[in-house]
Amino acid sequence: MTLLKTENLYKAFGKLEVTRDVNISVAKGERHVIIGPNGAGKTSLVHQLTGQLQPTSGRVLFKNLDITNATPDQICQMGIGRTFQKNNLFRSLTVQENVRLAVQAKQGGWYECLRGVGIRTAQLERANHILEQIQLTHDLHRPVSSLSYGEQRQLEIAIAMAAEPQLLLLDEPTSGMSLAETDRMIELLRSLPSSLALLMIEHDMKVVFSLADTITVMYYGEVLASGTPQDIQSNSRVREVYLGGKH
Amino acid sequence: MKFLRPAVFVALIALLGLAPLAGDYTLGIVAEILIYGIFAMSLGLLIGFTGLMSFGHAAFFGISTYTVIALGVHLGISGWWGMAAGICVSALAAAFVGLFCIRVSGIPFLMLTMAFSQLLFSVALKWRNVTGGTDGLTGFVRPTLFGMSLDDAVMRYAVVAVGFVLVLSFLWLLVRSPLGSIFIGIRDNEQRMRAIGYPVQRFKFLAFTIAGTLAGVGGALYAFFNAFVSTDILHWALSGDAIIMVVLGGSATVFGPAVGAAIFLLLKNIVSSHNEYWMLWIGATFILSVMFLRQGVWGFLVSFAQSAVGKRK
Amino acid sequence: MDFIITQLINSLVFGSLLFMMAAGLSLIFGLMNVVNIAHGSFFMLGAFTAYSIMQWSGNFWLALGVGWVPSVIAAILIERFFIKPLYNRGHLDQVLLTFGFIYVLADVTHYLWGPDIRNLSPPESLSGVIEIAGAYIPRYRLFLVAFGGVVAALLWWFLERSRIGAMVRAGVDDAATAAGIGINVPLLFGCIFALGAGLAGLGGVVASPILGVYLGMDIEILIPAFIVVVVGGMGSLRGALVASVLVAVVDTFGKAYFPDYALFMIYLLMVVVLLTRPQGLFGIARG
Repeated sequence: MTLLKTENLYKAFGKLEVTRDVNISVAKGERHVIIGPNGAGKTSLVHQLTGQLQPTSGRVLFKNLDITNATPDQICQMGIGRTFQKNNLFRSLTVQENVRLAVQAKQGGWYECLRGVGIRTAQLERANHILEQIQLTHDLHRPVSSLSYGEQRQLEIAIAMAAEPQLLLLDEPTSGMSLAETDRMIELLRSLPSSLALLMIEHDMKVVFSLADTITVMYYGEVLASGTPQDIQSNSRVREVYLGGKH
Repeated sequence: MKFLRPAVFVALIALLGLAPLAGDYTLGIVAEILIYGIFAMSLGLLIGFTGLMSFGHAAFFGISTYTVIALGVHLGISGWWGMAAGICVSALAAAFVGLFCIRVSGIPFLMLTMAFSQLLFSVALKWRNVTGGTDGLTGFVRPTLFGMSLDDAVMRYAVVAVGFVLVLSFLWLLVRSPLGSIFIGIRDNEQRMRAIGYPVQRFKFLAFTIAGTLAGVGGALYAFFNAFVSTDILHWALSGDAIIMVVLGGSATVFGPAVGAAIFLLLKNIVSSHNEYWMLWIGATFILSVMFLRQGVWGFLVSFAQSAVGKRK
Repeated sequence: MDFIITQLINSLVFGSLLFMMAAGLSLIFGLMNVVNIAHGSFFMLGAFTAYSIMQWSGNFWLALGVGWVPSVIAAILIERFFIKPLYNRGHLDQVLLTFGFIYVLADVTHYLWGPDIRNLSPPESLSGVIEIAGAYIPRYRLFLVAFGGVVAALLWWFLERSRIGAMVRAGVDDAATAAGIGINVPLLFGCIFALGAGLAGLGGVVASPILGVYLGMDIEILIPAFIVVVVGGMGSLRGALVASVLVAVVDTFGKAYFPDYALFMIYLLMVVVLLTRPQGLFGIARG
């Protein structure tokens, strides 16, 4: 069942075309990785999928609903979560509060402004549960600033997971990580529920080939090729443009 | 640490209760501090807890004062009804202005809030028959409570003190509530708040309206206190003073701005009794505070206490 | 017809003053991302200094030549000892800082000159009126308009044609990169802050025969100046020029034709611009 689909997505800033006629689709539970050199338009694509950037033309469909013009908060509520390429956490709050805030967003009931003690306990439980899943368990009352870079990347994912998304958009989850941290991240991503679809931007080929069911290669805003890892590896155009020397 | 907060609260109540013993003059100063404390705390909700630097908060304070006094002077309506009306008017004004201002942020937000406030000031200047212009409105009759008129300094003070405690308690509860955590989240990282599913504009609007309404509470109490209003109360200098109070006391806590109001007014009073250059002292204190004590006086005391308690553990 | 001409000249007079304020404000923001809320104080300082120089020497041209100096000195001290240390803290703190200086500078002015309102007459050579199409325009006002034009032209030349101007433009565009190619950004900041203050001070000097010299003129010129900068766009000199004229025209003609709504009009203008195009007419939309 197709969860996410784009139809002829096109985005231009004046003469600069960052997204050219992009058609991709992600099925339920699929692990779909987008690769491409810098400037290929991968992050712009993610921004258009999450309501931060309006496409010039084309559509984005999620569960057959047109979300092209939806706002970021609406898109999250519909079931798409995202992480950011550069850590985008709540820096002055604790680890636990970062996740609890995200849990609270999903649950609503905000107008129970002056009550809500019982609700809070439930939220904290759920936050702790997610943090366990993401393997961030020691001292949840630490401020974010005391986390290592790798732990912060993990927290990025925990926050996005809190809204119980059906599709998780990950923007370079292993960027800036050491080899050990990258391996841990691969394990973590592998351990995510199989019902959760992942659409990931990545540069690290080890991560790509460990996880991907489908790979889409982007180049100058266009989709160069899309298919299984074997298809992509044997695709000569892809080799010439991107994979050459990087394996 | 757990005992520190209730202890401070009890100490506060005790101080407030003992104040009448200091005589009517001092009582007047304390009442004024409490009123401006409410005003500053309401602005603190915007600056410290939602991250919105408003330069036009005096509008919501002043419009309430005007409502109470104008209704009393022109229509003979009792101060209590006037207060209810004043608070409602502030709420509506804040909602109206908020609708526009929330669409922008940062410097444009600062300018827009200031513009609306000045617009209101201009209206008040022009509308002489209602507002009395720069001469103001006199002849306001203070209401009575339990048979005693609020002309009595102690009675008046009591009403103000109760109002202060109520506003303080409300803000304290708000900040710890789910809604409060959302405001704090917005101050920390607005973009991420959106990405995790919060309609941020709606909450900014709510914060703005609540802050304006609370300023209206202060404004109404000021009407009782002063029994006189002129256009000075809508001038942006008052908004500026409020910002100084918030930063001086500490924008990160609920109580900080009230402490800032106390420091501001005490400093102003002390300097004024010696010479006219209180602005120099306030300005210098403020500048030094921004440079070296950014968390504000109360903020500093709180974090000092927290680390002292922490060390003992 | 003569009425319109008079109002037009008055608009241009007000516009010139606004431009001298707004140009500095806009440049300071564009380069340093600092909103100098104390900018009106430099204006006021210039006016009071002009008054003193006139009292002492009776020479208006001397006042014009050096009246802006105290403003520049104050600006250099403020920037060097208070704003510079806070670069890392973020713009909000710097804004708060300049706000504090309004209070300080107002009382310093009060202390040095006392609370009374002063008046200045324009110099002999510029007094009297000239007739233009039936309207009697004071010579001094025409001088002010011309002066404003000259300042605008010199500023334009400075920014577009000189090396320092190029560095300023580079810095406005991207301070980090500018530093990367060897531009001494902190020194540049100091210079631009001083330049902006000097312009404001100069504005105060030339304004004094028309507006008078009084405490409180700092705030009175500040708000219209901010409106100009917001309408024109922060960081844009062209915006400052266009918006100065626009705001001045709206204000002057507004006061002439709709005296009851006079005070509103420029605020309304700002509100409309902020809501439809928050970056101003010529401003760059910053992320």
